[in-house]
Amino acid sequence: MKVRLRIQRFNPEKDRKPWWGEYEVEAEPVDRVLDALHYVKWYIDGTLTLRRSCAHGICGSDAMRINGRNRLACKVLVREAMEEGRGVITVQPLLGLPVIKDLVVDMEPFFANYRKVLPYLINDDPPPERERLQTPEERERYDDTTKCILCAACTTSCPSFWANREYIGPAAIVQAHRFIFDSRDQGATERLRVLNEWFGVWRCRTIFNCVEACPRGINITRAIEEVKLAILTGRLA
Amino acid sequence: MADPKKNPQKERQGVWRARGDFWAPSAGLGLVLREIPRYRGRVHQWAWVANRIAGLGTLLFLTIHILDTSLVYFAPDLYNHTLSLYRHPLFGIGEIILVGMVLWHGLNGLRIAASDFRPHLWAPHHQARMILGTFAIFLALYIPAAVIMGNIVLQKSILGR
Repeated sequence: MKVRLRIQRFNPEKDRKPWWGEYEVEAEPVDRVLDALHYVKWYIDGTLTLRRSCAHGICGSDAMRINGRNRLACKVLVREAMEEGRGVITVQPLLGLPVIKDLVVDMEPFFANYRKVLPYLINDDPPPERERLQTPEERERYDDTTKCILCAACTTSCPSFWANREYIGPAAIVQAHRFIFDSRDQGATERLRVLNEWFGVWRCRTIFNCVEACPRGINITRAIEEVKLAILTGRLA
Repeated sequence: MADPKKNPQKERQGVWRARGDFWAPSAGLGLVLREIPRYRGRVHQWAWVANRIAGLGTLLFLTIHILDTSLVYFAPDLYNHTLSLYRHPLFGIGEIILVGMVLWHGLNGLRIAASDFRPHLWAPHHQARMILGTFAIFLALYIPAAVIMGNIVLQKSILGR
């Protein structure tokens, strides 16, 4: 099938502002939007710049705004995107992060927020002889938030983040949740302190764009609400 | 010069900024206003947008109301004149809109408050249903109120009865 693509382009060496490039490519209905972008880059315009690594929804590097909604280009079928966009697939870089070139954004502000929540196991007890054991229930408690692949689709779909880049953002809260509710971790107090700050969890207005955008289907708003409750009650139930 | 090893990220950002070789729309209210209609959020996003508009509208009314009531003390004549202005049909219609905004803001706020202590309710499908339910209650309360108020505006301000 013929696929029409409208791609937001920006070359820092030539352009002062982004512009729209229009391309027509031949694709199978079950090809992904990423395949169509590859076609443009490999056969039409080699200067088209985008990030992708695994191309199978695992690495999270090809998050972009497709038809006005953040998604992974490797997880959206051309057929669905064409139907949704009424014959045109619109592709833009993630909103709210500086655009370096075409669809590539500077992820640094995103990762700066990620680092703020201390996203690693904190446990000062001497390591046990074997592993730190956990019951299946204890593991289940934070199972949902272990799925995050840090693609930034959620944070850049959030109007609170568009309004202020200081907002720590859904992804960082998901990462914090993953450790706060881990029975082996001892850093919850410090993480909850960070998340209770001015630009922490209270900036979440429960808009749900993050949940809709998450390619891993994480219920992010629920995780944020659980962190809010933990701050309020001091309990990690 | 700062040691890049100490804070490589900051150093790198500094370089980016200095060369200005990226494009970044400035974050803020402008970006939100521009992108909200373009981003294809679902009913949850629109419930929030309506909540914000209703909240700001109510705040605007409260501000005007406090200012005009304070005129009783500072300038009684001007206060009477202001009250006569309020009898204009446009203000009558404004009142009908105001009631809608207060109702939506209140009901939607109750929905959020009711969910706040039950995290399991924060699933998109639950909330979508709750938003639709809130909207149904809103319509059930607002339509009769608007009809009664509209009738009064029509009778008094427009037909002069």
